[in-house]
Amino acid sequence: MVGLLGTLRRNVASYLAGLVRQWDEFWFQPEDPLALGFLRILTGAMLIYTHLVWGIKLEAFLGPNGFQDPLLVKVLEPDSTAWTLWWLVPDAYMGAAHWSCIVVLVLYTLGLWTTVTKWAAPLITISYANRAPNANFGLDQINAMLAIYLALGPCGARLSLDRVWRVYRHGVRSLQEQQCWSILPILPSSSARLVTRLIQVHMCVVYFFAGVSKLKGDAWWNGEAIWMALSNAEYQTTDMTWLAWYPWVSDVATHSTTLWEMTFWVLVWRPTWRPIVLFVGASMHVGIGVCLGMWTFGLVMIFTYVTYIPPETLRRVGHWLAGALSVAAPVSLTIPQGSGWRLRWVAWRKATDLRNRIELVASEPLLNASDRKTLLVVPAPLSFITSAEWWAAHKHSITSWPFADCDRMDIRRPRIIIVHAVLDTLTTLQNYFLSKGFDCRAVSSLSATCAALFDRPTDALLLMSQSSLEVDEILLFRNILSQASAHAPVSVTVLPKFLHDHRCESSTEHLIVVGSATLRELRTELTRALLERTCTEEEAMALAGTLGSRSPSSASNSLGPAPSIQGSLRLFKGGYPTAGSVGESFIPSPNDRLRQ
Amino acid sequence: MDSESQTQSPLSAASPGNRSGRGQLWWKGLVSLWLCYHFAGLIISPASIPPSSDLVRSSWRFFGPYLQLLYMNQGHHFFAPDPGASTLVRYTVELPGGNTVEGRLPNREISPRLLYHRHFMLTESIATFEDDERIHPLLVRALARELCREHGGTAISLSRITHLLPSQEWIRAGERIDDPTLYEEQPLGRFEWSDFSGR
Repeated sequence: MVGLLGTLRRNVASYLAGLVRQWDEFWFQPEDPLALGFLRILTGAMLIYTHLVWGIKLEAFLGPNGFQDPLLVKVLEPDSTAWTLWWLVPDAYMGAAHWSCIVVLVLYTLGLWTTVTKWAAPLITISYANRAPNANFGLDQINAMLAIYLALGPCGARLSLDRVWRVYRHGVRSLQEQQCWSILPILPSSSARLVTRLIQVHMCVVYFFAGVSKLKGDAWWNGEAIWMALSNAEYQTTDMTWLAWYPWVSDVATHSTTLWEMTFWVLVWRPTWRPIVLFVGASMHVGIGVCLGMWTFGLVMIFTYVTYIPPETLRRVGHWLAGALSVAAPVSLTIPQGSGWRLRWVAWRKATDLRNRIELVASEPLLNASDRKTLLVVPAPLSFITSAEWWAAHKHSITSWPFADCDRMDIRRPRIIIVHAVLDTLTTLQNYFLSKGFDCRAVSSLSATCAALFDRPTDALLLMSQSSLEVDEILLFRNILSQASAHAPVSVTVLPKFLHDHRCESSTEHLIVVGSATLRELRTELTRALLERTCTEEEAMALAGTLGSRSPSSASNSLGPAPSIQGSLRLFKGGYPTAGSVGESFIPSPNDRLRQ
Repeated sequence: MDSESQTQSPLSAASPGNRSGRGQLWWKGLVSLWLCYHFAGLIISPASIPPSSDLVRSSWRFFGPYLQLLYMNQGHHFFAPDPGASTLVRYTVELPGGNTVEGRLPNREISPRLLYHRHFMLTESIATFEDDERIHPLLVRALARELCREHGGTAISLSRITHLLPSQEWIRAGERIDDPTLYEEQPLGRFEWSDFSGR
């Protein structure tokens, strides 16, 4: 009985710990703030437009003798905590206050002084909305929601003038001190994740209640609702009366709208369904814009979908936009000595170089001849490789990576590099792989990985990631490896399950493991990738002998005898082996391979 | 059992939770509490629109002030329960010379479209508050005053127009959506500019 209670307690504790971990990952897993940058620009542009339109009839809508005088507003919302800054503005200064707000919103959109303007934007938005409550609709609600949530996160960390300024200042320092350009890394942020999730979940609430509230009416059941909305002459911008002869169109659209709104909050979290759900939603909002003239509302709803787009896709969009905006031809600039205005000018040009078209050349050689040869193929000093942009910018040079010329694998003792950000885990991993016969190096960043790759030939990499930004960089790195050369190191990349969205396909030499994995599973995957590279029987047997002999206690789970290895090699070429065809758990079945 | 299989997973060992300091735990705990309260409020807000239970309506006391502060006290009832008839306002302004100006709010000449919608929401609110004896008169009076001021009139007459929605059979019978029989007019009152004196 006591044992049963103990087991029950352990299970409950384990379950609760799992819940806490999932909650933590969902809301606080550090994330690239790129989506917030995009959203700040889109929201800011909408806020500027919305407030410019208020300004056309400012006195009529916000004035003391307008459509909604102060008495009416106070009677409308008695004992309310709704507030507006307009009560503080004297009538004579309404115009000045309005244009000041527009200026602040422009700065917000451009991303200048965002630590201040990101708080000013929701203050302005709510002030206008609460001053004219009878002239509001869904647009104002979503505007305010986005402005408030964006203020809680680092919305100016990317795609902003603030970012350009920070890069410039960092660049000036690095040029002065080290005569080379250093990319200022963008750190993943828990608050960026929090804001992204707030918007996502808020939109789920919006759509769910939009759908549920429709069930109160008859028209959403009998299929006439869409007809009724589209035949409203005051909303209509396109003649849709032809629908009267095709009532089934209205029926389908009515039921689809309700069904979509009520299931959005479930389906949008499914990677398979998400593109479909968002496409249907965007189509619906565009339809509202075309048929009912509510373009602003439709667009601002679509803007919120940015938070559902994977960071990698957003990054590609960013690079594409940068290419579209930058027409400058590649240019080489010499880094001036000292700290004068010429150096600052060079730093400014490099900071605003969206496409990385500007190459900076040191005025004096920093390295000896052999090092310069290396730098010819890798144009930036390795110690400054910190961001995904660098990897993306230099993908074209992958065919001439230094490790493309490395020797064949040292079959006696495979050289591996383990990459993990957490020192304790890194030490555990290194000790384990050393004990299993690997010549193992442990590093905690991609820049250190590069340095280690240059240092000596390497057979395999074990890349482990935790955060979303790290995932993007590691996946880029892995992709470059997989395309680099037949002699590049093989790799095993471990991704957290919640961040894996099938952006990368696992290959036989560059495996991807999703979710949790034991040390033995990691070793199995790594050895499997290494075996794929060893083409001759002698190499395979030597590898088996080396690694197997270091682990006598688990020999049956290790590489096994040579015939099995030959069998596994043969089967690897043609796909996964079936259970029992090769040595036991060395090559697990596909179901066992990844612990989802 | 193989001892290796019992080894702590590297991934779980490196989970962010393990790296969090005490301060970060407190921060996350407080934010988590706020998240629960915030989303409970966001759900209560549309759920409290009638018909709703006493439980939901009474819980509004705990969330209402907070949501009003953030302008998040929204119902999200887009075109619900049913898309309804439109409400417009017809006005006749008497000018000092004896001439009159007639108009309708909103009208298609108002541009851009967002400004048109702002006017449309104003006139729609007349229908929303038609049964409210405190708000409705103030709303109509404010509308009359602003229109009178815009045209420089000495007096103004307002009437509410309800544009009924046509059925599909109506359209198939060859009628139009702007057929005069679909409009119902109801006087809202006549106001002298002197009524607004002192404002």
